[in-house]
Amino acid sequence: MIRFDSVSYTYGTSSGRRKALDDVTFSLGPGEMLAVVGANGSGKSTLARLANGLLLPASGRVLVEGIDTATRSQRVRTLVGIVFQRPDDQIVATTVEDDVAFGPENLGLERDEIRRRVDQALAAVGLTGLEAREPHLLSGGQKQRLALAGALALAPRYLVLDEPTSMIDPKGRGEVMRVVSRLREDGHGVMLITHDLEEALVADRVLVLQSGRAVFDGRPSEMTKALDLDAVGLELPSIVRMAESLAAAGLVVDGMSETAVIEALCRSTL
Amino acid sequence: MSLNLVNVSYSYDRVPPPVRALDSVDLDVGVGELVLVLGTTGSGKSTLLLVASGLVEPEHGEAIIDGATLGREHVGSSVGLVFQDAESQLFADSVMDDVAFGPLNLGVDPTEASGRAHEALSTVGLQPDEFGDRSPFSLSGGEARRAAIAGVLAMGPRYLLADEPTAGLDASGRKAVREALLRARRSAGVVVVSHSSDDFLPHADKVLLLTGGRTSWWGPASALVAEPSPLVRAGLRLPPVLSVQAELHRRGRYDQPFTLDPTEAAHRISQVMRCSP
Ligand SMILES: Nc1ncnc2c1ncn2[C@@H]1O[C@H](COP(=O)(O)OP(=O)(O)OP(=O)(O)O)[C@@H](O)[C@H]1O
Ligand SMILES: [Mg+2]
Repeated sequence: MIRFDSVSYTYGTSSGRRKALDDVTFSLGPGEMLAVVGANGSGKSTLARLANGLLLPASGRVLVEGIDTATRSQRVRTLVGIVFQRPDDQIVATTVEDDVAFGPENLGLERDEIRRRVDQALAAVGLTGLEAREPHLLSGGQKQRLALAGALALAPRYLVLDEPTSMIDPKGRGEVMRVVSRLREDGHGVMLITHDLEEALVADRVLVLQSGRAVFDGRPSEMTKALDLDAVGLELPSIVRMAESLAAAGLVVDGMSETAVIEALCRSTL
Repeated sequence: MSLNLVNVSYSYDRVPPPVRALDSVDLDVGVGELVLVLGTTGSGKSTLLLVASGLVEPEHGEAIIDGATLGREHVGSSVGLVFQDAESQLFADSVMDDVAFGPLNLGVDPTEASGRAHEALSTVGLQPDEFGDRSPFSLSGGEARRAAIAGVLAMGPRYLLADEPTAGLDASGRKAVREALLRARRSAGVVVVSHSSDDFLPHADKVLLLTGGRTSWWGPASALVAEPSPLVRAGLRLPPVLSVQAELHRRGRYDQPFTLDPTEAAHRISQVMRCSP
């Protein structure tokens, strides 16, 4: 389990100090998917960097399987993998396959095992065939897939994904979300930072940040009722707005997905 | 006045194997027009913008701006580009200096440059009082992207190219950037690469659809909305509102023209559903 206990964090800069997180408490268990949403600058990436000990709390504690990240234990980095918001921050090697192999090599794994993990990770993100490519010449979306593959190859127990699909087309997003679902089924804990409400709605829980404070932690279906979405930088997906208009016109649609709308409509005319 | 690519090809061959990113592509954007470029990850969209900006010379074919050959001298002054990795465009000590740099560099006097920078920052939702003095490198991802967009807006280029300008932005940021680009269109030609169909497809004049570096569709955005199957063939997901209408149509339940507007779509659907026996 990853536990945040009254965690605050303040960036010190030349132009003053800036509180980025303020008294945040929540937890993420194995086999659970937590979506983290909030406006630009609300503290999501700061939260991500605290989760694997890259940043340490100014006050409060972050515990990973009981280990306080403040102990700077190497074990925390092994347990919690992170995919950064900017894939360029993560690319280390000169070919796609070396880049994915970098982490497992550092773990000192056998060659065969490294090979297996690299192939598997690249297949999972749909980059098979691009092994010899130079990462810096990949498209933005391909770089994001590569960064995810690098994290998968390390097989961490928890995975923190900071807007991993922001540059990927909607169909590709679906593929990445399937990878995330599989991780959850396999018992990994996943923290998914996103601005896409459609992605947040499939999570087990949603944590909403507003100016560094956690203003909601609960089921996605309750979030849309409990919160002024606008105030936390979210908007209803167009398909949900369509479903609402259909309901207003007397066509009952239960569910917020495209298929739910189609099936409901086809039933209603039978 | 227009910016044109004629039969342009481009390959990345710095390291083997060479990758053909663009293959015989044409683009035509006039001042007052917004062209939306769509395609799957890796289909050549960003390369197209690099060539159209004058930063990269086409390997074959021609890039033409207002009748002249497009070159590096047009970068910034006549053509502004917001990179996909917009954050990499930031470099100055403060956000304000960063945004004012472009106009200053074009010879705009300092008072006006500063005025333009203030306005551009407000436009993208970064209050100059709050963000102006901060280091660009201390911004969050979305804040940095907004600052990079402000930098290009402040130059007021005649052609404005933006690669995924709304990626990573929250809802109000997406709206602010969309409205800024639509306002820019009044006096500029705008080319936007975006996966977020809700943001730009309803407002685009033309769409260029790329598949594996080639043009698989080019025409008025309204024609693509009316007949969206090229999007599916290009490997893209239809915007959900369109997808519902297309599916109902396929099942013989919907014969209205397609629309991207969720409320209007619901209205049209409810009318057809009522009439059916
Ligand atoms: N290195 C830094 N130094 C100073 N302030 C920072 C730094 N990084 C972030 N901040 C500030 O801390 C706050 C939280 O930033 P954070 O990156 O966590 O936001 P975010 O929710 O990830 O935003 P986005 O959606 O834009 O990625 C913001 O006000 C931001 O400007
Ligand atoms: Mg962030």
